[in-house]
Amino acid sequence: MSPTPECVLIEQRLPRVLEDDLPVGETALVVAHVESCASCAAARARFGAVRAAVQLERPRVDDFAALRARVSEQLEPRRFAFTPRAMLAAAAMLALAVGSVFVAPSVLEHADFSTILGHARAGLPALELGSNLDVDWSIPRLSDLGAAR
Amino acid sequence: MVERRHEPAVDVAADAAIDRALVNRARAGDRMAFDELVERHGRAVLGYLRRLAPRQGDAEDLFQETFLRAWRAIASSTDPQRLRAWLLTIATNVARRGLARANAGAFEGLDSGSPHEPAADDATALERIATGERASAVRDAIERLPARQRAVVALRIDLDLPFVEIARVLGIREDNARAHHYQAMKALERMLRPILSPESVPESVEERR
Repeated sequence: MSPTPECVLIEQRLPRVLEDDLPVGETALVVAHVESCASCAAARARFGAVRAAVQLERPRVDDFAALRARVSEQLEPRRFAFTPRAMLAAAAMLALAVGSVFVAPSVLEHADFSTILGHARAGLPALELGSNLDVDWSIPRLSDLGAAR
Repeated sequence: MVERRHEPAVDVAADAAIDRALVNRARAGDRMAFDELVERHGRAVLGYLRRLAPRQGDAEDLFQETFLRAWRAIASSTDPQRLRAWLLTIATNVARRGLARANAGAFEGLDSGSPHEPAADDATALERIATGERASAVRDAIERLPARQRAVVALRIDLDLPFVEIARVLGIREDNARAHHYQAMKALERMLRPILSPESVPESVEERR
């Protein structure tokens, strides 16, 4: 049987059939063609033989233990690594530190803490922060402290 | 049909869990954990490097460099699930640099002394000669392939990596990985035809046209 144009397409897919890499439908078409085409059946046998020969001639790794020991001897203790994650964490810490220096004093100066704490209390269940805690939540402003002095 | 390895899903999941734990310990500087990772994945990396650099001594140096780089970089490696592929990517890059550095074809050639699996013990003397010749021819044919095709063959046939993973390791597109595989198989089939099919099987369709 002489090869048809379809045979060219089939032959190109044969290595992928051997690797189980073709979609199921396409594999079925290739298999059906190969069953009825001596030329493609021979090609499949040749590709199969090549694959088996390559697999059989896998490089030897029987000196692996010695190589592993060589690597193990050369591992240096790890110093601090400038990984992206570490850099990001360091940048975040720095931003927090800088922010607390420049922002916090002005907040402390102007904030009405009794209002802030009032909002905080309102957001919590009464049982957790309720009537048993007989505490005066109002905090004087810094400016008030200055005036008192 | 070709014999295929199919690992049970449970084993794969357990392996991944062990890798994850070892990677986490290695990231914290635990050299014993890293040594265990070398034990688990080193043979695959060494075999791959021997395909890429068949000359005796080259693969050993590349192996060492690969794992020393991996040790230095493991703290920034992203996904412990893809550890083997990550190591193979480092090995590829190390070998690529080695190939570029090598003058006078240090990684080329058909070194008959390169280490490969021995012939079966029960072969008769004549069979052994025939098998030895065949083995040598197969090694020669693989070494004659362009480096990238050799890499694809090693990653697919030796290590059973799917093409999507091969593409990632080599930094190429998945369809390119498949194309390299086809070209490699086609070239090997052409080179090995006299050895693998002594009764002169029909030539390929494309050549007949």
